[in-house]
Amino acid sequence: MIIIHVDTAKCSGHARCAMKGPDVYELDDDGFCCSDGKIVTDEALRTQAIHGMKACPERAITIEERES
Amino acid sequence: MNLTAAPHVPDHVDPALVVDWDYQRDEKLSQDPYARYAEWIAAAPAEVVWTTANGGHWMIMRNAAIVDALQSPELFSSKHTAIPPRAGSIKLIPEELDPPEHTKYRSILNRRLGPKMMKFFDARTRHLANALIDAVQTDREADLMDALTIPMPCSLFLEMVGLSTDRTREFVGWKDELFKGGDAERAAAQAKIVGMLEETIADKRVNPGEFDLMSFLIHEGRVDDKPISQEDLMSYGFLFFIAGLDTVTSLMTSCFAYIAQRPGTQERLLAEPRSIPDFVEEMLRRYSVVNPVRTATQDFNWRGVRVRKDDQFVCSTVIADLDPAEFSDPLKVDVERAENRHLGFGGGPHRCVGSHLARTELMATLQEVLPRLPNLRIKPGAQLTYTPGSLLGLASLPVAWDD
Repeated sequence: MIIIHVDTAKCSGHARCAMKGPDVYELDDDGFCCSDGKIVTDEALRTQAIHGMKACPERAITIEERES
Repeated sequence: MNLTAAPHVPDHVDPALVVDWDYQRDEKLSQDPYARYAEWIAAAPAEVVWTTANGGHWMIMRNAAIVDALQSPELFSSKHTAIPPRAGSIKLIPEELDPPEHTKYRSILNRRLGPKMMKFFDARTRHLANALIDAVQTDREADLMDALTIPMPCSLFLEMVGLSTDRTREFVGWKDELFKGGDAERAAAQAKIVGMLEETIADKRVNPGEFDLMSFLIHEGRVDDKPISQEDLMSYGFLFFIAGLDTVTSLMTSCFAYIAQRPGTQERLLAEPRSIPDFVEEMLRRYSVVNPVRTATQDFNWRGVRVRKDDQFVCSTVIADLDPAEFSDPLKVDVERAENRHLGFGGGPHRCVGSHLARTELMATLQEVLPRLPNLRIKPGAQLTYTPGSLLGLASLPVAWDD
């Protein structure tokens, strides 16, 4: 499984994560990422999680891999 | 006597970092500004250089360093948006404020211009784009800037501040006087825009509209628990005008210019509409438009340079997005780039608040217009040139299409 970490001080609401990973990243009403701490167990969503992380212009997202 | 004395370089600047690049007036910029910026990136002696142009200022030459500066408003202030600083113009809210003041004025806009509000603007864009194309479709040729990419964001701006789109042409005239005119023309245009904003605000106080942003700011906006002052409403209105027109025009023009110059691209985009969002993102990267300016709040050492309070920095989105350390083969358009964390909309707390609106305008316009202008191409013999200045954009886009 993977855990999504979002540096909310760096997130400035580009919303690119949710464009590239719509089933992983959620946005609040202002368009900022609110998926900090989210655990993704569905292996099918791994690619989306990585694409969303790699699209962030602020480098605010990191992904932690963990043995499930 | 030496009449060509070297320009003054401040004592705190290491002579090894000095260049003479002029991002506002270099003569090669009118032909292909992106190629010129790429040359500067390749020739940069360090990641931060000092140029003697425009009275002397820093230029940041690497994507990672530009991100760092934009994310550090405590060192890099937004109080001036021009190099050298311009006196006597209306303060732009929230663009020229720093946190924490900035946050109060900015957060009001975030929700109203956030991704969840875009359904409304998407529908309006499609309607306006079709109306503009109706007017020229049978001509089979046009300057697509005059016909579409200039009036489109102007119309949407008018709707956003709650005015009729019937005034689009009149409004385009004011915009040209403001951005391209001499001092007297600029002052006259500014006075007309101020008058128009005052009129709208007075009207919307009494007759609030359902969707427009001005009615929302007047009736629901709060700063420090108080309604937004008349002066601040004017500043907001002026910012929407300055920030939302030429920027969208420029990028939209680049999209159509790219498509018109490369046979097969239009057909591919139409055959695979799901590729349009990635196409737009790659256009935002490859043809970035703006050169944000920051001003040092204090003396500090940063990435190998000594900075003095009030030194100015260009944090160019163009340089950030053409940095080969971040994007391989940066001048190449590659819609399938695995990592496209471009700074087309800037970064940090001042990330373009209209970015979602701009994306919506670009995607919806492409989807509506491409099917209606078959075999879109540059008019034979036409040369594309860029308007000089700190904002990058084509000067005209003469195109032809089939029935």
